[in-house]
Amino acid sequence: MDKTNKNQESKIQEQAMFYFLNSKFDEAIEEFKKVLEINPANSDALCSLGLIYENRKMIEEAKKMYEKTLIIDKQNKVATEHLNKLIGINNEQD
Amino acid sequence: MAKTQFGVIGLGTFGSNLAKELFKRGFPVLAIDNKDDIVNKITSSVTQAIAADATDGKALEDAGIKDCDTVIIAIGEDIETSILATLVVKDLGIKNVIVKCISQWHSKIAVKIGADKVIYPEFEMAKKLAESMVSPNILEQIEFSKDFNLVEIVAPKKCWGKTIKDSGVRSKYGINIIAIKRHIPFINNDGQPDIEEKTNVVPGPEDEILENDILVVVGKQDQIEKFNSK
Repeated sequence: MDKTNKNQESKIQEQAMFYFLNSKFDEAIEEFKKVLEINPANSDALCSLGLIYENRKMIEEAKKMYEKTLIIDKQNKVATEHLNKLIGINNEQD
Repeated sequence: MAKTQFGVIGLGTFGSNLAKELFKRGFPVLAIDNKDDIVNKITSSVTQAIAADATDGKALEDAGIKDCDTVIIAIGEDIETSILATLVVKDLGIKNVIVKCISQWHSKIAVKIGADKVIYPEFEMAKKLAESMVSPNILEQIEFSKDFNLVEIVAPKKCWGKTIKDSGVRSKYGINIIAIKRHIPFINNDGQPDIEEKTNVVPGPEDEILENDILVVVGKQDQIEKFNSK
């Protein structure tokens, strides 16, 4: 990725995160999607979309986003915890 | 007042998880199964785990079942053993015996021989799953009586930005909001975005309902449906 694209990605991500943290989820979704158009491997954008979809009870979409996050970032704790919760995996079970 | 002591007989997935959850909540739990390997697995997660035949009154007595206030018979698949175990624990004088059943006949027999309560986890789960699929906006539902329900719903759009008083939830729809669950986005210590849930229990009339809130409401089924409609 060239430097211009990287800068643009950071700028849009910052805007997306601003919307996300202010619970403006419709706007956040739009911005995170733009981030992913530039860099489909942006795990923060993927995971944030998962969180928003989960919040809106769009469970299948949320699961898809967490799964994509974990392909890119296997250690992502947030995606792991939320995906396990959605699937119904209880780590305390045998 | 002494804590209720529980006995769980049959340590399959349901029984073992029930025993562990009760113990985790601070109650003394006596867990019994006839298989040694299953008993060994749960030893550290309950007060006492013992291998014994659930149909042998003497064995159960020696295990200390008489000290339990409530005994749950969690032997699902083997109806004969479940029934015999129920009979044995009732004969031993246990006041409260709850039996996990797999069919209507199973529950009828259990009640006839003295079970104080019967439960059908699979039936209850199926009912819940069906409800969640039919009404995706209804997240959780508990039936109080024939008419009254306690329901968790996604806050309808018509309430967003309004206080409870202004939303007319009580005056117009005749239902009460007993809790508001709010999802708050934040950045965690690892620098990753996350969402946490905060619950406002017994919110006041001036508390605001926001977009993305989950409302826990009590009311009649038809009133809740009216409130939940667009």
